[in-house]
Amino acid sequence: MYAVILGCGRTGLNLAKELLEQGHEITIIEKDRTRSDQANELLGQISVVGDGCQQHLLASVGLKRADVFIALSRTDEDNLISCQLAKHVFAVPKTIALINNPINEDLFRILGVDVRISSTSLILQHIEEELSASVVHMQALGSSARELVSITIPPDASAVGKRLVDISMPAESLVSLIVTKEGNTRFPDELFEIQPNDQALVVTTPERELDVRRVLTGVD
Amino acid sequence: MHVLIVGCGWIGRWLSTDLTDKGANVTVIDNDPENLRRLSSEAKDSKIVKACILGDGTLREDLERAGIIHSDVLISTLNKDASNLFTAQLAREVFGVPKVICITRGDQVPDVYQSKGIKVLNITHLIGESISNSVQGL
Repeated sequence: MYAVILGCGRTGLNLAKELLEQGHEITIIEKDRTRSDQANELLGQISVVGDGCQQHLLASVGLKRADVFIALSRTDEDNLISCQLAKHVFAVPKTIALINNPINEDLFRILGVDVRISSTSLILQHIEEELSASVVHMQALGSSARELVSITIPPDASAVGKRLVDISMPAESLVSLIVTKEGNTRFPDELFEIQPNDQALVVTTPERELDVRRVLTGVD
Repeated sequence: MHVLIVGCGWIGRWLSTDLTDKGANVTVIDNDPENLRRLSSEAKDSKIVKACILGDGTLREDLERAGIIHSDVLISTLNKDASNLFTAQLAREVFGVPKVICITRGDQVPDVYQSKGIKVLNITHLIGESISNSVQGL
């Protein structure tokens, strides 16, 4: 496979290294001469200095025969326009772009960039997954050492689709209220079936809290 | 008619003065305060001075601040072709601006932009053509 990469930052360099090791042919286009030289020192003569939005430069690296174009520069304009040129002028079958500002994701999608990678969105998604499996403390209940916590059920939790009667809740713990994804409030009886993204309000004790989380979300 | 001019270089300044004279409501956005100051000092019409917005014409929040939603026409005159093509597509595809004009200087761009309803004017090409015509007319 022949891959042309725009941008020789850390991501571009590591990707090039990886692809070279897998036996692919690589060219990196980089605006900055120092960076380009570094890549050539490290990986052999694979980098050319230039502006990836200029058609003559893209032509000179043989973009016409490339199987994939990967735009990893730090500016969204360069990534979008170079991918469009790769697609519409050089008929590259697959274009991949890094999106620096996540708000631009829709634009890249509408304009036909095949694969879009947004680092901010990726990190956010991981954080949200992490958070969605966490226990949010709502209220300590009187002096009884009971507390009210909120747990959002992740879509992949083992509890999804199960009736409450089939879930063995830890002692001193009770699912007392469910707020569905749509915002409907339910008093769950034994036959209530847990759905993805349900918010469960649970009365429990600080000692049982993690057991409750494990039972409802599958996260230890 | 509301016209949003992105970039306040010599083309942006010339256009904003000319279109204001012709009765358009012009807003100009540029990320360099010096460029905006220069326009303000050159302008005879105080309307232009009020319509200068400091901001990045490739960022949608700044374009929103400059009133892109109410604009009938957007003209992108930044000094980098990729930025102009980016802003022009943002205007067309995301904000639905009815008329979008994109200035370029370098390579001829593929038809894909024109087919999206963006008028691409390559000034290098236009100037070259005009000179070549006048030489032939000698």
